[in-house]
Amino acid sequence: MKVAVLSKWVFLLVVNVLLLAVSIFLFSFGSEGLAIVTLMLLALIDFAVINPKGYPYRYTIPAMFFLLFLTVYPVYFTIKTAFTNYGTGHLLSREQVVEALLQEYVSKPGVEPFSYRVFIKMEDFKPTDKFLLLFSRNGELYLSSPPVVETRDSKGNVMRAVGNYEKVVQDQCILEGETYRIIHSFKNPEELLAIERVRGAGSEKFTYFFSFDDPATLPNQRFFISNIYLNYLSGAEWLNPLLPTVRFGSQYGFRKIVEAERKYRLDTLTVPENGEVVTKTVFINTDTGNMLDERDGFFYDRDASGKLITVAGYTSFVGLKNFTQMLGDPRLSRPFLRIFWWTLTWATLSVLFSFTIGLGLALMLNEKGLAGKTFYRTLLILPWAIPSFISVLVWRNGFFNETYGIMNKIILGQWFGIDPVRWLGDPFWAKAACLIVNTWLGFPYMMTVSLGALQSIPAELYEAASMDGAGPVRRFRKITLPLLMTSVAPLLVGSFAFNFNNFVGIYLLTQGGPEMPNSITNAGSTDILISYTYKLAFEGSRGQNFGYAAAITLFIFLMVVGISAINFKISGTFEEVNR
Amino acid sequence: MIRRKRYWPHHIALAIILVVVLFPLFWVASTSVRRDNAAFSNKILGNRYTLQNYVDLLFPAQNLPVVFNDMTNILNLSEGYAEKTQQQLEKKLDKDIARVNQQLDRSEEFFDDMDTRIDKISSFLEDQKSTAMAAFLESKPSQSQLLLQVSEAARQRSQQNHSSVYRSMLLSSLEGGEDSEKFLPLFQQEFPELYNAFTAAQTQVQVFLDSLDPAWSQWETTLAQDPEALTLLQQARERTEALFGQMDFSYSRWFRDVSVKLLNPIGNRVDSLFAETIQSSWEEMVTFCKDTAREVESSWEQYTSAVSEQKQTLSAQSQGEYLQPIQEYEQLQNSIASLQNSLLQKQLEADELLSQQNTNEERLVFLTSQILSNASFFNDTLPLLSSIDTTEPQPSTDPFFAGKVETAFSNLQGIHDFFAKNRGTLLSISSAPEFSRNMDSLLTSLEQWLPNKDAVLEHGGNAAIRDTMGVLLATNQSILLSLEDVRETMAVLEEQRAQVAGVTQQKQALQDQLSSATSRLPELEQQWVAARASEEFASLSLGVFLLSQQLLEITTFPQAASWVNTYQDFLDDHALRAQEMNLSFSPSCNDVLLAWDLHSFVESYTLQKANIKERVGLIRSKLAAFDQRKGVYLSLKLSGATIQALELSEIQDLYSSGYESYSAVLNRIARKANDFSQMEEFGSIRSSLRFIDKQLFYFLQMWEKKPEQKFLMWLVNSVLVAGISAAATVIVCALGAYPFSRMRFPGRRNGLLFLLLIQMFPTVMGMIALYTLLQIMGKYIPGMGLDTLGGLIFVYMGQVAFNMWLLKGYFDTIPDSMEESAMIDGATRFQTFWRIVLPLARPILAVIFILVFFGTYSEFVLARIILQRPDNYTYAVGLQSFSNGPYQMEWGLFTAAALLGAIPMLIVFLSMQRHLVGGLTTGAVKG
Repeated sequence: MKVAVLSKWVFLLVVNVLLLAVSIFLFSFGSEGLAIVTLMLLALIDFAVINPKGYPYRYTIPAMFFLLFLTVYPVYFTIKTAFTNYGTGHLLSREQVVEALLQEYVSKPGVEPFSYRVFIKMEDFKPTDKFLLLFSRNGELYLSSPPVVETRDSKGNVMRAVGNYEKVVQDQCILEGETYRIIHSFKNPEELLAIERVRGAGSEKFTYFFSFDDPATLPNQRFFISNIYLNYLSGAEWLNPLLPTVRFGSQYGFRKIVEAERKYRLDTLTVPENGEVVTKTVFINTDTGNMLDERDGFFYDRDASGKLITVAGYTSFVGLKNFTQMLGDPRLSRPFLRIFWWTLTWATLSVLFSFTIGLGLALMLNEKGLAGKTFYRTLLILPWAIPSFISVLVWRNGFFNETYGIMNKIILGQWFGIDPVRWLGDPFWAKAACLIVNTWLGFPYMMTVSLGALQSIPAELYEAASMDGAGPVRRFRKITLPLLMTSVAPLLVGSFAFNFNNFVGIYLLTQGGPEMPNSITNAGSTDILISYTYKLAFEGSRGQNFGYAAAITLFIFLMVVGISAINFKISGTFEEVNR
Repeated sequence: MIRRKRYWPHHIALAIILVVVLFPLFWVASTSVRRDNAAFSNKILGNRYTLQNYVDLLFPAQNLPVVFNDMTNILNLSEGYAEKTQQQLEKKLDKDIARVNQQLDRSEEFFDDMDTRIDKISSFLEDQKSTAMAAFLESKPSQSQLLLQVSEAARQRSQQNHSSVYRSMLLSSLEGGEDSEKFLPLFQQEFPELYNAFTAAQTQVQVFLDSLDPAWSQWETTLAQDPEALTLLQQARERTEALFGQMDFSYSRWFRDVSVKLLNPIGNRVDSLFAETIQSSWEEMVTFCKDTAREVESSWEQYTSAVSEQKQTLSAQSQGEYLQPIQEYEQLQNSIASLQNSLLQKQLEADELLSQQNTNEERLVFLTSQILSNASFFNDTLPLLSSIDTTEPQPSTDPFFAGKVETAFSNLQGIHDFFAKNRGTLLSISSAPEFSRNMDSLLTSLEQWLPNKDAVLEHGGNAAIRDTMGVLLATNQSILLSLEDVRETMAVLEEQRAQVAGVTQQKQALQDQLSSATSRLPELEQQWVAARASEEFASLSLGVFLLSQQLLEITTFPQAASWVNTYQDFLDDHALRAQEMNLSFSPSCNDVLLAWDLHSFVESYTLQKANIKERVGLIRSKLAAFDQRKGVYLSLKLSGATIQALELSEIQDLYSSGYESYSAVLNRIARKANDFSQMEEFGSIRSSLRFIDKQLFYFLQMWEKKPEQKFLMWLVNSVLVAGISAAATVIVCALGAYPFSRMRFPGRRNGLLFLLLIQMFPTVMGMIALYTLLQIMGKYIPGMGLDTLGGLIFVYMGQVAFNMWLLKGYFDTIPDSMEESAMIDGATRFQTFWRIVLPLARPILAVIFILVFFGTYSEFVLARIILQRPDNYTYAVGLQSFSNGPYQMEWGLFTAAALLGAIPMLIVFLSMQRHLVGGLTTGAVKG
């Protein structure tokens, strides 16, 4: 007993520490959403283990773990994004944009770059990674120390590293408190053999290893690049209080070192704003001295003629703009409303067609004396059994392809002699194609469900009705249909909700269909809301607009909740909850 | 009475529906086993079958391009070979080289096998040839008779309307070319005088030639001692005879070819070898030849001048007869087209002007309405004026009052006059009733107002009058400005009206021109059609005549085959007229053509075989050379030098250039073999033909570059991911649903509602969140980040909400009496769950497993975003690569992949469908 209690508290302690650490890390990383979700999980676990009333929750912990991370967090993310302008042009957070702007360098034009030589300390005749760099320009030599790495990016590559450099005077240089001496070859005074670091009694020698301009050192290039350049030097810059800043620039890569300076620098400015005096940090273009305007999530600069040019954009909070645009801005609302209308039509017609065919087949198959019922049923279920994405692809490539597809080439062309139809190119025919495929995919389910429901209708009702003189049509309308509807209606509504969001059926077949003319987003004629959202978010050829897509997602959610509420009212699921 | 119900209509309807519904599946199955590319064929079912597509998917063959690539990779130390030692690399290379040799051997074997069949076909071919030839030769006289008849009939048709066409065509066909002689009989018929002149010239030339004969023979004996001179002399004689016989003989040519090139050297030799007497007689000979040549030239010239005279007359005739109508017709068509164009332009102009006019008219109406709206002011102030007269005069204190009043009244007068004058025009622009009403009321009010000037002047001091005047003066200005605008707009409108009238006039003129031109068209068209017909008949007649003459000379099979081919092309070119003349292919011609087809088939096969054998030999030798040097290459490469294996790149070139050139030809040969095998005539060699077809296919498979795919890996990935996520989901959901069903605790009801709601949220945008989540996870937990299957499985676990509902519903149907009794007996809650509830819930657990398995198997959106390397793709993502991109038209591969992926699902589904439907309805919905 005691062991059990002890192990419970140990487990709790471990879990708490772990999850707290993870959430702190996530906060520092910038993902507040994930961090909050982690804390929620932690709270749940604590409640479940400590509080005896929380005993049921222990069972739900694994499920909650997955739910929280994989369902709640995306929901939170979607809701949050719906109120921002996250998208192309606004992909990074403001801090990231600031950092990126500070990393932009301009090399001064017309200034000659430096050549450099690498000197490496050898151990056992093999190179190590202790090195010194010697820059040279116009006969002047400068010695530089290995730069100290300041920031690395997510893959571990160097983003910023800073070092110092000093001028070499008469083969001697004092750098960071250490004295260095250059050793020349006696035979050829131009040739530099090594650099010696004098340190008290002993000295360390750095042998000449590599220079880009020296072909004799070519075999060493591989080592230099992979062991030294990529690990220490690629984002490095060297400073000197009297001399300009130098770094490896993008123009010459690792071949030369150039003078460079940052394109933008930060400055503080005290300005009156809205009646108060505020101190802000602003960016100044070091070249022109212009202050960058910051508006609407963009940084703007002015060019020589005074025109505004966009420098960079970041994600910013825009309030309800996405929602108002959805319905207010005619450029966005027109495609949106058309897509919404088509979604409703599509879902209704799909359900209608597949239910009609399914019910018809079920009625035929329900006849008592019919032979081979299982045979027919098994064969007719096949379209449902094949994974839908395969069927849709087959329909798209083999049947509806305008030039080679079977429909146009053989069925319409050879058998009926009709001109080829632009299946996927014409808005009307594309919609027709989508409906055909979806009916083909959906009627087996309706057939099965109707068969089940038909079998639950007692046969005596039919007999009594026919004795009273009701014909088959009357019997169908007055007996079959009402009784059928009570059991099948929830499924119909469920099928409507499913087709409302039937991404596969539309996207794989037509990718949303022939494009709607005059739309700034790539809306298509057969797009339903969810495929439109997907295209906005992931296929923005005219720019991805996650914010707007998230707003539409929320709208879809509301619609589906509404439909499902109706459904649950019909089927009485809410009573389930109260039971 | 109980009657047995008839179910025939049901069965028929069901059968029809089955056929329609299952047709796509049937198509998929049949396309996946076709040998040709279904996308480009016109038949819905092929007749050549192979299981190659399935083999390619499941057991990707290491055929030649793959091995070549592998060898290149080894030498470049890429793709995983960077870490191996030299020995390992050499061993791998050895294996590859052995494989290449093996496949090259097999290629040659293929051809050797085919050779035996080809021999059989060749002997069959010989028989074919001889039978066809015999029949052809037999039918020769009747065939040529028929051709002559057709030629004559066509000539008559042609000369019916335009006699010059045929004659000028005939004349031009006589001018040179090898076939011109064949037309001589016709020549005689049509141009008797010319023909006589021709024969006369010919006889003359012959006379001249004969006169030269003795001289030639004499000199031949004289020069017999010198063989060189003799040969030259004989050449000169042959050449002279040949040249003399041509009707376009020119002296200068003869001079150059014979005299300079041949006779002069003879002269030189004579000078050096023979005595003087002989030299001088040689000189005579040469002069004699030259003279004769000149005579010949003049004879021919006579003839040719006669011919050109005739040609001139003929061309003048034909110009008048038929060339002119053709030209006129075409010109007329051009002018009609340009007229239509300008008409269109004018229409556009007119439309533009009209729309401008409309805008201006609207503007005018708007402006005048502004003015007219002031009418009410006048109406309202009228009673004031009339009441003034009865009061005492009260002059104004304002010195400028009088002046202002004057101005105001004169302005009003101007306005009144303007509207009175232009009333008609304005009404014509806008017929709206309020407009005219307003205008009339303005006019009347003004008319009543204006006479009151004096009264106003007198009563200027009256406050009301003063205010009224003030308002009037204020509004006066704006009215005046508007009036200016109105005047301007009216002027512009006038202009525009004139323009529109002008344009309409121009349009009308163009229209008239167009209709007159079009009316002339039918007549000219008739003439044109007739002229064209005569042309075509003439060409038909001459062509057929030529064919008939050529036919008579045929003796061997190649000649017959080429004649039949020419005949067929001729028929195709003159299809319409030939049909009119009932000219068609005879059966013996068909036989010849068929034999020729087969013959060229065998020939191209032999040619390709030789090419291929040569190339294979080259590749083999290069490979042997590479084999010797591979050690050196490897060691160089491993030490860091960048080298290129020359032999290997040469082999690659040989392969790619070779494959390009002969894959198309071999495919053609195979198709031809297939076509032949379906013809009745080739029934006896059918099996050989089919064999060749198949062999060529398999040969090409060894050399063809196949699309890159890792089908098996994708299937395995899919099954793995689906299986693991399904199993994990089942466990997690069972655990999670248990308390909701069995226990009552705070947050239960809200939790259920929450589960219900959260599953309805579309996850489209969530994918971005999940992507970021996986990025973070991937850095710290290996194997669970982006582009890994572990990460994918993790993400698929998000389906718990829906399944928990199902499970809860099912758990509710299990009575908890068993658990209560177990707990009384001392079991813990968890033990009851584990040992009692779970086993009882096995059906629904199976259902959930299958549902989740299905769902994740088909899920491709999330997988497409998360997985990046083709090695990691699931089947759903990989199938996309068969349907988009460069392999979009490889239907065989695509349908085979579709079937292979669908069949497991199908089987599982069909065996479980009963449970599925039951599970869905019991667990989720109660109603």
